[in-house]
Amino acid sequence: MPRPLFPRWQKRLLLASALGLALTGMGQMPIFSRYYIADIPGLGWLGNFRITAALHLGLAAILLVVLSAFAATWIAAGPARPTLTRPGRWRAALYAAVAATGALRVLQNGALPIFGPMQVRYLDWTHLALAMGLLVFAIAWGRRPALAGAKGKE
Amino acid sequence: MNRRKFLMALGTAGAALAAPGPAGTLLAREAAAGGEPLATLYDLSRCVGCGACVAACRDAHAADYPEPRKPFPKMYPPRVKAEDFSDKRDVDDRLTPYNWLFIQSATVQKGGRELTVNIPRRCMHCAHPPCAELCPWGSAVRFDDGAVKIDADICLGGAKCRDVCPWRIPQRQTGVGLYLDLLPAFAGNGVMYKCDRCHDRVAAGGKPACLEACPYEVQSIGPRSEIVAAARALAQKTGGFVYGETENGGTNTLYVSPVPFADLDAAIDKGPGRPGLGVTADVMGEEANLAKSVLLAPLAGIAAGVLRLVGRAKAAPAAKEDDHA
Repeated sequence: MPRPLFPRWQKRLLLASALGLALTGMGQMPIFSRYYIADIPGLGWLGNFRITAALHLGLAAILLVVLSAFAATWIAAGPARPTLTRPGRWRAALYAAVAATGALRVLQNGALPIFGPMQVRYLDWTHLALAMGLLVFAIAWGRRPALAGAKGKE
Repeated sequence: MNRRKFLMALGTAGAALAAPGPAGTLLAREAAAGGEPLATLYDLSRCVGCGACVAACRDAHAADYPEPRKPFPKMYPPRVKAEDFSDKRDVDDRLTPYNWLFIQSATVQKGGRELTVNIPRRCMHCAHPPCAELCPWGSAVRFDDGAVKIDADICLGGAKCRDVCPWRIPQRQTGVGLYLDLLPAFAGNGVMYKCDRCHDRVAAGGKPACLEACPYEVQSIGPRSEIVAAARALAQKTGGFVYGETENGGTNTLYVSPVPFADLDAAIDKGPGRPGLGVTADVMGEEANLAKSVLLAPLAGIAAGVLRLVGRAKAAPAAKEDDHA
């Protein structure tokens, strides 16, 4: 049996990192402390911005590795590449857009500030809106297969 | 006439008679044109604590101070407290939304004698400001000239900037700002305020109001590299100590003191609105390696993807041969 183009462990890693990013991303806003969530034993770290910011970056690195690996595999597969379904195209586009805006924000803080000081907000808002869009998509259409011909979630 | 007003008048008269010194003579516009951030240097041995800078700051920013709507909207859950300085606008012994600069005084021992050091305190304008780089809403920004400003028009008052600031500089005023138009009961709590180093004045070729008003030329402004060199030279000449060159990864506000900053830190009153002068962590520097890994991650992913395809291609003929066996 040929090895699958997108191994299951990589898809699970993508999902786990995306969920972690959603949690730590929400942690960038001062809501976990306000709404007592950081008071729950074991969840105090959610109220520490420096911890959630570091985790957000670490998880983003994992997500980017997996997304890039998927993209490279899909593109390099040539004519043998599987066709994306409509939900699959949406999923790929949303993941790519969230990742791109996040990477731009990292560049903005360090090596390559592309946006002017008063334009950074639009980057932040876009990243936030895309993340919310991905969340809504995952709830509404997340279990639909991404690849044509796939039986389950692909 | 109280002591502060007397000292202000005396200082202003003295400054008018004095020959222009090196302080404040570096032109901000020239530095900004060179693309280098501007920094300021406080020579604390010159500061008499007259308060002229504090008064000038208040005058220059009078139009920027909040005018909150009262009563404040009820906020949930009950642990969320309003922060209100609107009835305490005259407070000048700490940072508040209405007082972006104040003077700390430390009485310490030097050479067996008592010495009082006055320290003007405001935002340090960090080279990598955690307030701006970690603000999830983009309301705190760092300008190319090195000034860090909070945009009161969009700030929601979550106070994350204060939590991540090593000196806890920004101060909140409830009952004002964008949050009132969104979900005032459930998100946000006003607007954060702090010194913007008179960004608009400096951008127009001027100088910060506090610097301009100082009768003793305590403060100077210029390109950061020159200010750092000037701070080191002054410290070497006077046997003094530098603060701000490396704190939090380097700031655009440097102090030179005749006594160690650890002594000043131990002698000043610290607490809400009264920042310390201790050793600080480099907040954004701690995340620099993680940020690099984020930027390198796509390369690792592409390599992994290509290797996977190569592995599949190698495995495929073997499988085919097996089929024909």
